[in-house]
Amino acid sequence: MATTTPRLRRPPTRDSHTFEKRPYDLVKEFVIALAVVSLLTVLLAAVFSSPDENAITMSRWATAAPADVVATATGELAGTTTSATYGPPYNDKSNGQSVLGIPLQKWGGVRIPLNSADLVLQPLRDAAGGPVLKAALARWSAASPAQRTKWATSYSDALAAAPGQDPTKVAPGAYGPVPVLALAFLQLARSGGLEGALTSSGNFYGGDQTRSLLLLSDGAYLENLATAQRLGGDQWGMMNETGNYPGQPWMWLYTFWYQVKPFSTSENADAQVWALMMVLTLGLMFVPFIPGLRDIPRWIPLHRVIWRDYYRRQARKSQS
Amino acid sequence: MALVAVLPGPLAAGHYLSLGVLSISLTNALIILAMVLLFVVALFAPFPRYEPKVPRQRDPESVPVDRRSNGGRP
Amino acid sequence: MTTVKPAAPVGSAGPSSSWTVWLRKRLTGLVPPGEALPDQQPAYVSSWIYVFGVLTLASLLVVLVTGGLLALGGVAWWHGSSLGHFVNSLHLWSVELFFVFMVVHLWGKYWMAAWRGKRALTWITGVVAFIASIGTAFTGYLTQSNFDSQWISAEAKDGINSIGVGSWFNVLNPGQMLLWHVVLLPFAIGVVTVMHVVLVRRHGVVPPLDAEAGQ
Repeated sequence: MATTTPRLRRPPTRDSHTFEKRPYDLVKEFVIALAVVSLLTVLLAAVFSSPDENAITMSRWATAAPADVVATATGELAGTTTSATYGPPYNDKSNGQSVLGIPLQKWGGVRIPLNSADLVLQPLRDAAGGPVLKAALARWSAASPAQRTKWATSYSDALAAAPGQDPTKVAPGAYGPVPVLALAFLQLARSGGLEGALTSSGNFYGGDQTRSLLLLSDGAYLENLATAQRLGGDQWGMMNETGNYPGQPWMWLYTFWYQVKPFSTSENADAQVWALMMVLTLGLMFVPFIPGLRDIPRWIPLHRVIWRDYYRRQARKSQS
Repeated sequence: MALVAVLPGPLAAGHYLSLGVLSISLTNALIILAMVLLFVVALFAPFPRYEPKVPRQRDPESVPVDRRSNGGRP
Repeated sequence: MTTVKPAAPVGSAGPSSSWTVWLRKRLTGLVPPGEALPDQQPAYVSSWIYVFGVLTLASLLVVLVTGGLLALGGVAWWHGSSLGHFVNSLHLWSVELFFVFMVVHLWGKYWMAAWRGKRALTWITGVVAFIASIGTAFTGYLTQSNFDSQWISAEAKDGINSIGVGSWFNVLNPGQMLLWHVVLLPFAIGVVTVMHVVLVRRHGVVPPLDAEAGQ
């Protein structure tokens, strides 16, 4: 039985080319492996298929959760949504996250500038709206920023207080043009033209869904659907997939940290978890140089099973 | 361990196993289990041996070992 | 009458400043003679754990081929075509197999302490390939143009923005993510995989722990 020799007194690993050989057909092995994998792939695909939940369209959002669309539009105008207060790279309304005091998010800079109110106003301005909408837009533009915020915040609060958050049941109040704008936005979403207005905005090809996705993320509908499918960040969601389909089991450690303190209650959780995983990844990468970690295979000798033929032969040779 | 099954629907979660803060989909759990089994089987399953001719004595009438290029593997 | 000096034989040292000679020497010196595709292995290569490297490589090939088939039809093909959906399923399951085999390969190599004997770089390139594969799978999810893509991009943007790189790697931009998934990351994986395999051929399969001299 091999003893665990202290590292300094251990001879260097012998050159593998000096050992006795056995015939081994690498190419045949590869071809067999390829056949096995191909066959397994076809079988698994035929039996289990793959998930394809339809993307949420703005129209579907507006039909399934109109109150959410109105509340989101109002929040954009009030500057209270997640994207409005995000910080870099979209705006400077917040410093963003930091890890060990290092403001990494801020260092990234505001390089995808976004005015959240424009997520609502730009499509409305581009739309062929009637005189009511045009008047509402004109009234909004003419008002001071403080007045706009006051209107939008009041309407936002009123929506939250309305029974079922139903826009048609909002208490009367001084909301300025906000109700008209929000309702017009809902109609635009229902019509199916909102994605195009946000994505293309004058450019034929579009192709960058940043603005549409930020708007969708500001609402509750997307997150509610995701949570129902156990895809939320605090549901080990990074590992999961819709339905019963296989997810990403290899993400288990990355998503684990989000489930436990201090990360689960930290405002800097994303940056902190990333930094921690970076350190652990480097640890995995440099295992050969980490004392203890690199010695575990000696302490727990699974290799005695792997190389049992070899060790048995050596024992026989040393006996004979 | 509680098996949380949700009634199937167009946008319903699949089957999950939960224990305290731990939660894993049944499918993922099966995949990981399969990997562990694969690993254990790979360690212990016998591998086709190659027994070289050990030159203990010079035997002029001995027949050379079969030198099939796949070393005896199927 | 002039005599022509015979040309120097091909393969001679040549002028020391020849870049071609330098490259040739580097390439031919990467792997010991006969070790690029040997028909023998050390006798201790005698366990089923050794097949997981080649299974990973074979899976990678199937991933690339099925991905290429998907590319033939374009990004939205698989939503409307049952053949396209089947090809998508092939791609998904080949990726699952790829990760299964790669991780079992990693487990095996860890318990064999396979970084011994100047094989640290083999281990490191293996880990880099693993991480790059995770990144590639991630951009693949973003490229599905369905609910998954919407949710995953919405969540992932927070992680990537939190470390300040979100404007250069914008997960909300499907056009950019598609090109990373189909061009940049597979190329990176290809390069790292070649390095990894060349290193294995260069150093040979790691000997058993405490294998003694002369045996």
